[in-house]
Amino acid sequence: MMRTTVKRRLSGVLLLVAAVATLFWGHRQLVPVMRHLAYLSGWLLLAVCLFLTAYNARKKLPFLPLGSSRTWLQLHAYVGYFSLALFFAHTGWRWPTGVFEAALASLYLAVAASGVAGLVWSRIVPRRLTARGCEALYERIPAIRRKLAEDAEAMALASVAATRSTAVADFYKVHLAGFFRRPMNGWRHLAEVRSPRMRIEARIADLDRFLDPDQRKVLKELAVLVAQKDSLDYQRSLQLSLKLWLFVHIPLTYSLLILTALHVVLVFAFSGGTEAN
Amino acid sequence: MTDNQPSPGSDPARYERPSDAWVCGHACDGKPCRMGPSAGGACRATADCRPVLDKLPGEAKGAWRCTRAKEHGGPCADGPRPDGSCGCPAVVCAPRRTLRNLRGRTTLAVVAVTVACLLIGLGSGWRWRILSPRTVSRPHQGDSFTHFAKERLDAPNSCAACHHAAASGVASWAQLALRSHPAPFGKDQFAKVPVGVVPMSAMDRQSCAVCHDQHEFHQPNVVQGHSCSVCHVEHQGLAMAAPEDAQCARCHDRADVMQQSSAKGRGIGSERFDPPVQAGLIAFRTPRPPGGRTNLIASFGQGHPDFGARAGGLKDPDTLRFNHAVHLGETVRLGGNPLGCVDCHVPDSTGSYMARIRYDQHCATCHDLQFDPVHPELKLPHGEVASVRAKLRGLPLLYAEIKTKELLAAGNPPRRDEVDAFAQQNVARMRQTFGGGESLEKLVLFTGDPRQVRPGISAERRAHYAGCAYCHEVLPDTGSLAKVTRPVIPDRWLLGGRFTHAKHGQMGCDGCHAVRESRTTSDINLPSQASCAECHKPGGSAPSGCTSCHTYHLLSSR
Repeated sequence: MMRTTVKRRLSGVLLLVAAVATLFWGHRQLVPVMRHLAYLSGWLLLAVCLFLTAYNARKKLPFLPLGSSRTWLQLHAYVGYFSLALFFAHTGWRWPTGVFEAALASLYLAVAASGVAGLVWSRIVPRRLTARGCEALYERIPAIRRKLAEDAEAMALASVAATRSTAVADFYKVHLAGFFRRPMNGWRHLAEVRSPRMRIEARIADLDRFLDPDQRKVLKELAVLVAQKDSLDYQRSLQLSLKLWLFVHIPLTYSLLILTALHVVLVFAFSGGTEAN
Repeated sequence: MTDNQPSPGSDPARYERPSDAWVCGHACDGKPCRMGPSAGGACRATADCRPVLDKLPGEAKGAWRCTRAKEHGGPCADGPRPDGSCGCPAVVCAPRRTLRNLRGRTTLAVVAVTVACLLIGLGSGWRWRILSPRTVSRPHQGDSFTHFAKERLDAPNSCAACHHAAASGVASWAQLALRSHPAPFGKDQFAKVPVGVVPMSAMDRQSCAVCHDQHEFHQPNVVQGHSCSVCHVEHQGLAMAAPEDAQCARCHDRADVMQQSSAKGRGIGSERFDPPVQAGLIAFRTPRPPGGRTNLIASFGQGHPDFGARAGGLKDPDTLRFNHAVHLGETVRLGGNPLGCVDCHVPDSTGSYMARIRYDQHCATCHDLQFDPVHPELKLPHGEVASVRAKLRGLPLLYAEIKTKELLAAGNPPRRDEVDAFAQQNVARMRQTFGGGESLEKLVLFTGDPRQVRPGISAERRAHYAGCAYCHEVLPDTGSLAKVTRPVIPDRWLLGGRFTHAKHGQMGCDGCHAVRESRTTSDINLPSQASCAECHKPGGSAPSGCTSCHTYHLLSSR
């Protein structure tokens, strides 16, 4: 599996490099030959952008035999990189100076940057999730969190009767009830900061010294639940980030298409060859 | 670290559907209801069951029975209420949108904002500021140009002067785009670069040429009008950039185009190719080569011929006898110092060219036209022959005036007999030296070398006693004894291009003009093209672009 992935990625990168090299070589050859080379590169760029946008439509039409989503994603990534080269060939490596064209270029680069960032993130996050364990469906995380909270609360309450002491219950009320109630430490999990969990574990260790064996047994079980809840928050934080970057990429893509359509109209309507009425 | 995750106790009946638009409001608490929200986002929570009234035979009141399904926990312990309603009332929630639904709404919002921004921007007065790729050149903006465009082109705004789409509303731009050339779906947009020239476009004909009608397209033998916008690229800032050499080379470096131009030029009178010269200036016009100026030129340093004034052994036709080598040599002194170029050649008011040489400013200091060494204050007028002869014929009066002034200066009243005697004495001396009055006139007019009439005159004084023929061409004339040919010194030598001495001040005159060896007036002391190209070359210290010197358009007013 690993060898297949490496082989596939290597092939994709080689194909991409070859395509980009061919593009720049062809562009250089065509500059002195073609009168309106920007039209050709512009239409190509538009076609590529439409193809890239079609990936989102493809996801909405899973019943059509249009190839697997995985294949589409691979194509989306490599064609997206190719579109960057095409963009620079179209603009001649110059930054547009007009307000509209600068906005168009900025929008394209924002979409491309968000896409590249999302792709890189989507390569990093699954590895981190797998390494951390406790993988769960994002939509089921609230239910799991609730169950953990209920189990922890029940455990703490039961300890009062079983041990005739409120030490564990009090500890739960002061330090753990809030922790189990809602998702915690979202940004810290993204940054792989583990100090909040270690802080709780340190408090548990501090309390552990003063407890009798029965209470320690309960506290140990609570510590297991704390670890599970922290892992669950980690899952939620990273999985949410995988969904949220699309809140930038997709809306900007449709804005880009609107501005591109206007750009095409403007180019032809305001070109030198428009005949007067 | 890997932790054991407890089974979420997933219920197959509660299959997660992330594609749904709504999710139960209790889902974030981990306890969504069984029904879930409707497609429209309304809570569909109901009571757990609809109690059924069981009546035994003969019983009037009966008892309500819970009908909660077994998979949902079976009948509840408390049972229905006395009024027959469910004892477990519905817990209504506020359904929440799923992330996918939120993303879709965000997309719609961003699209709406984009469209709104475009509508506001395109509908406001900032429309052209937003759409313009960059500022247009200074002459094509401002109130005066807007007014001019309205008057001349019936354009509602300055943009419409060139872009007809700007005269119509946003809604019609798509239609105009479809009618454009090249068309958006036509093959002509992928056409190859035409040979030599890019024909004029509709914009050139309908906009540029309407205002710039005084511009002719280069030379009369141009094969086809060149599109304005190829060389004059607008929307590049306040100052329109000069055309690049490549634009000139599109024709001048193509043998086929030059051959066509040469053939076309054969049928056109050479006077139509004469570059225009400002009124009042004297130009050195060179004959047009038989094939026209159709050499293949890639750049100033590659293929450019020598300047026309230097080509073909042309001579300066001026009749003034002038020797640059003598004037710049050791024999000629001014205030004890050798003459320099700047003693005669001074820039005109523009600084670009040299002012015209004038006798009174540049020659008279040395050539002051004296004729009587005894009375050097007597000088002949420079200009008309008649004036010279009149002065010489009034010699007695001139001497009488000298004596009168001398007596008055000494405080003595001038006596007529004394004055007359002085005049007669000097006139007699002059006749003894030069013969009669007519002989004196001839000597003054026709003697080229003062040493012929005054042998032994010193070199320092020689120039002061020169006759007219010393510098001028003097021809015999029956009526006025002599006719002096008026010198014609060209003000402009290079008519095909611009030049400015002001930018060459650091060069020194000798760097370009090899006049120290020039002994005759007929020498044309212009620098060669090759010497100019030593600096004016790519990467050189001076610009080498075609437009540094040449102008594509010729004014029709010429």
